[in-house]
Amino acid sequence: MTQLDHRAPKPPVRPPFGVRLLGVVLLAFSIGLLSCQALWSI
Amino acid sequence: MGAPTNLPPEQRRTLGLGELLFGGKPVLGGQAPLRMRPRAKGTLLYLLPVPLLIAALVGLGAGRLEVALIAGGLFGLFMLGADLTRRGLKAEVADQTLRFARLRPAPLKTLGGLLIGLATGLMASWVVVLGLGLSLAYAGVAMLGFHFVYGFESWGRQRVVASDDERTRKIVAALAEAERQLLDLEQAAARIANRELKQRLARIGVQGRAILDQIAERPTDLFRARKFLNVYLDGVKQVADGYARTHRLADSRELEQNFRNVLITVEQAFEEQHQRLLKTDLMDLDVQIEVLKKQLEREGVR
Repeated sequence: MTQLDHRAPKPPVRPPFGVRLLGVVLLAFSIGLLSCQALWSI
Repeated sequence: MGAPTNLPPEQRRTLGLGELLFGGKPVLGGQAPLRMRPRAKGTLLYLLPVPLLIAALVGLGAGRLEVALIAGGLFGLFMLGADLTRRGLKAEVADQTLRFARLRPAPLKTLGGLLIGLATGLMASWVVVLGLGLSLAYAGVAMLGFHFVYGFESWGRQRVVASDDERTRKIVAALAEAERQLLDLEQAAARIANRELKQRLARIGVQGRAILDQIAERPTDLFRARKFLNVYLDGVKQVADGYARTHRLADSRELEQNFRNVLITVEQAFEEQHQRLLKTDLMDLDVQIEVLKKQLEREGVR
């Protein structure tokens, strides 16, 4: 029996910088904007 | 997290529980420490809802209890989602560094992302008073953003070894179980105050991993190491766990000395086991060389 190919699975592919930046913008647009709106609406 | 997975199998090592929990970087066996930081920490998820906390405080100051409760509750939901995401990111890194076992019990990042989406939708609907469609749209946008930055976990467990062979799967299962026992051993060591005993347990952990590596390199060694896997490893784990639980309650010198003696014996047994496996490998190689030599001589090749 040969040696086990017991290598750990590859880490998840890191999305390109542009995609991550878009993600940050979307999060800021939804959570950030809404929570600011919540603050002003009081 | 590229470095560990680019290493050849023989240079990789398993991760200690201390490293898993505290992110430390001990150097064991002269190997370079692994980079343990996750690529993202989820800080953004903690920061973005802060105006909601301020809104809750302002609402409380203005005597509007329902506003304070809703905004505060939603802020708590965001923090829970952020915390789950952070833990999921850490677990992801730790899980990738393990060699045989898989630790991730629940898709924490995915749960975190769903909570963030839910909290965003509820915030849009309850606090900003948007319609159902718009609230769902905001929740969707938040979850899409989450996926782009942190990513949702894939469903199903990743396999350690890409093989359908029954025997290989059994070997990997035995190695994974042994690796879990080593993690339990390190968890017990973390609860013991005595530095010397801690170090002995750490050494046993390193020796244990060396034996697991040896078995992985040469799976036929599993049969030879069955006593190590079934008796010693389980025994030392149970004793260490029992000592960790009771030594603070009963400060007995005799108990400490007995435990020390057991650890010394186990250290010797592990070392002997490792040497025995190495020796067997060398003997097998000797036999193979001899057979090849004889075959070449028979065929007149010099």
